[in-house]
Order: sequence, then structure tokens, then C-alpha cells
Amino acid sequence: MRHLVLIAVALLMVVGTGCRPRDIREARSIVASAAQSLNLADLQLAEDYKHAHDVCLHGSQSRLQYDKCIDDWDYAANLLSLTRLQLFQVQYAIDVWDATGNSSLFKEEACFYLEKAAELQTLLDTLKSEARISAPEFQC
Amino acid sequence: MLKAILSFLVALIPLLIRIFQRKPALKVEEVVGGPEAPTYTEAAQAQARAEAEAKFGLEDKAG
Repeated sequence: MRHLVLIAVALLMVVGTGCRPRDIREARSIVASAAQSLNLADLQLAEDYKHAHDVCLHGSQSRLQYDKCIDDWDYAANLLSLTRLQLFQVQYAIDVWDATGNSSLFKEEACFYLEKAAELQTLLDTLKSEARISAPEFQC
Repeated sequence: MLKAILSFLVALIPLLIRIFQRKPALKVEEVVGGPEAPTYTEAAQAQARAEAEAKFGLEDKAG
């Protein structure tokens, strides 16, 4: 009877932990937080972009002048899009990790995401945008 | 014996609550939309380009 009780407790503990390494759950949680942070940064950057556009539009005498004026903001917009796409890659890499037990693709994609996010934040700081991207805690 | 079983079951209650309350993390697409969906900034860019075209005409080709 005592052995049955111990087996039952052990089984319940396995079910309670979801039968998965704790790291995968944490990785998914971190990616969800990163997505929320990026979404907020996107909202802020959109506002800042509109403001920059207004300044450039009214301050430019030609299309060429306007394009030159808005160029850095366009680069920031493109970089944000790329960073967002990279987050999908990180999510896919977690699915691969979950399916195979191999986390190497996840580490590669996560580190590349961190690189892009850092590059984007540096550019946003240079442009004096209010947008902020929180850096998820991946070990690179 | 019955008391021991009941004590065991009562001790399991917090674990059972934890099991049923756990929610999976949100997927990226649930937060920002699918990968093909435009960002807010891309939407602002599109609007800006339309206004620039209205004022100055189409973009100059590289010379």
C-alpha cells in the first residue's frame, strides 16, 4: 500500500510539471513577454514616425529632400519589422526543441533576436524615439 | 487508514489547483498578429508615403 501511495505521488508530480523540461516553458514565457514589449515599442515608434514625417514633409522642398529626411526612420521601421519576424523564428525554434529535445536552434535564433533588438534600441535612442524594447534573458 | 488517505488527498489539493490554473504562454501571433500582418509603424509609413506622394509626386529614381 505504501508503495502504491509513493507511485501515485510520483505520477502526480510528473503530471504537475507538465512532463516537459522547465526551460521550454520559461522560454515560451520569455518569448511572449518579448512580443508584448516589441508590440508596445511598435506603437510608440509609429507615433514617433508620424511626428518625424510631419516635420520632414513641412520642412522639405522636394521629394528627394523628404526621402533623405525620413531615411533613418524608415530604416528603424524596417529593422523593427525584421526583429518581429525574428521573434517568430525563435518561437519556431522552441517548437523544434520541444519536439526533438535539442535546444541548439533555439539558442542560435534567440541570440540573433537579441542582436537585432539591441541594434534597434540603439537606433531608436539615436533618433530620440520614446520606444523601448526590453531585452529577454537568453544566455548567448 | 481512512484518515491517512484523506490526509493524503487534502495534501494534494494545492498541487491540483496549480495543475488546473496553469495557462500556456501566449503565442507571438496572439500578441502582434501573424508574420504577414503589417506593424503599426509600417501602417504609419504607408500613410506617410501617400502624403509625400500627394505633395511631391512619385519617388525620384536613383540617378
